[in-house]
Amino acid sequence: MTVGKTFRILAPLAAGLLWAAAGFDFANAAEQLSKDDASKLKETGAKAFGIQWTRAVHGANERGVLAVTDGTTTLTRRGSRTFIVNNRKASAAGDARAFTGTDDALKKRGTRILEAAGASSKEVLEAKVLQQMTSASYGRDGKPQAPKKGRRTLLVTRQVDGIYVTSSRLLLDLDANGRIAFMELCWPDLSPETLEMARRLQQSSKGEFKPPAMESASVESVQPVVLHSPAVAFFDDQVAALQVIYRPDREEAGKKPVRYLDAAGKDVPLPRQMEPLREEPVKRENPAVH
Amino acid sequence: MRTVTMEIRAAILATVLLALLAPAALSQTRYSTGAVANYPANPCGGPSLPLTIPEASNFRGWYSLANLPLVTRWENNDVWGSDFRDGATADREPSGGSDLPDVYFFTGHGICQAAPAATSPDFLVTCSTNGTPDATNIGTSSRWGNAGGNLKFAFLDASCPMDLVSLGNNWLNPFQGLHIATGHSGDKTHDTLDSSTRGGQFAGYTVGYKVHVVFFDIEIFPELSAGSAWMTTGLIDVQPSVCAVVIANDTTLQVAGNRRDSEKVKSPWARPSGNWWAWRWVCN
Repeated sequence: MTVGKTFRILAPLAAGLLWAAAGFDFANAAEQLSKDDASKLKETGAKAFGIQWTRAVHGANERGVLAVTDGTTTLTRRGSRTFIVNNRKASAAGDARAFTGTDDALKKRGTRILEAAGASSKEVLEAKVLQQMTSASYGRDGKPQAPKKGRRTLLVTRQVDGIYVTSSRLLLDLDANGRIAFMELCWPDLSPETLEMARRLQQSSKGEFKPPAMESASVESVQPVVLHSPAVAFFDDQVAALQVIYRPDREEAGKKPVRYLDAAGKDVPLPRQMEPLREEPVKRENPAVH
Repeated sequence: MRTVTMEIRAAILATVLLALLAPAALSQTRYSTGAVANYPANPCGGPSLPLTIPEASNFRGWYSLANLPLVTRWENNDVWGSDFRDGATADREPSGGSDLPDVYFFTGHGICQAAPAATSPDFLVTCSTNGTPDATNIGTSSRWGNAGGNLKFAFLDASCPMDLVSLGNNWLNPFQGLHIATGHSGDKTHDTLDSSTRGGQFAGYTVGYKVHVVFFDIEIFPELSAGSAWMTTGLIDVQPSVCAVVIANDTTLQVAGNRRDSEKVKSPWARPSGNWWAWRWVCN
């Protein structure tokens, strides 16, 4: 084999491996966002969320989920009101570069974002600032250091006509300059059918509905809720249900069972995140008994 | 002559690249899930957790979209208590030990005390006729990353397996090469809820979803560090006063803190060594 031939064989092989090594970060081919759609999303990012785009943006459309990025900040949009903003530099920065303003200022910023995105502030169930904490310990017998305050995150939850929309939330991290480091806003429009069903379930939860019994647990609470596909998803499902939380009879059993039921006490289909996996049933053999 | 020399050089370069990159190509993060829904009163004391199965399926859905290789995906009786205890026939048991993959996601029961103290143990609880007992005391029995074990990321979606008050007593020894662990802190009146959403959203953020358009890669869904992903999703479907906790180990306080905040599932850092543990938490 000549040197030239060797090269011609090895070079593509090496290129393939280079791709494979870098491409562990596997990227799926997607449809390019049209210039119009990219500019609209870019403008939404600037106007509603105060994103300062630093370079030309590129956009993609994957299964109806749209995204634009300038390489540092990426804005993702799905459906009526689901957005994710990630400034990869700011979100990866340490606590020292986190927002230093007051909790009230963080809440006000959250309210402005909701309104700019077209959400009604009347739907806010609760806005609270979550304080992250850090600690550390040296040595396996070491005493933990005193906890230190880390970054803060605003969490806003949602209700509509007194019905808890458990899947909706605004999660907001700002950087030291008050710009969005990371944001998840999942606050979709609810269809009239979903809301009507939720109201009917609200009535039945006050009346004739009897939650099904669960072995080794008793009913802790029953409430009507609306569930929808979460932020990281390719679907926009939504469903009203009665959420039944059970309290384990064994006091120490951690994690409470939950069921989401219709008025007849049947489990409702839960909103999807992605196309369900097609997996064959598997059975584990115990080598000790063979 | 000059062309031939250049070709030889290029061929040598290509071969060196092959040699250098081949191991990297084989080092893709591998993962397992273990989901226990069936906890019959006899013999496991109940109650069952019906949403753990769809939760683990959602977790696998995102890892599958990220093309990460699956090691095992056991459910119910096929998840053994011994999978989480140290030993060649336990957490390194070839058919499903938790120390086989790089990432293990467990969803099922834990044990919550009424008022956990510094000496209270942390548990994972399975329900199986194999690998008994079902309850694993994490602090005394779980050791990950030792004796050829691979586990880098232990993701535990069981109530109260990482109580803050007892973290220093329970969660230092399990790190024997383990990089990062995530879990919840709570008590019997401040508990996590069975959820099909939490594990999937956590998985989605730990691997992200990237697409390629023309010459650009765009993250449709962002890939966050394991710690940030848990801070973002760990409080989904939990009762008030439950905390999402992430802990990491390394040589210095700063390096352990960086690992806790920055290490990503798809690009794990080198094996940690040292005597510093750094943790972060956020409470609902």
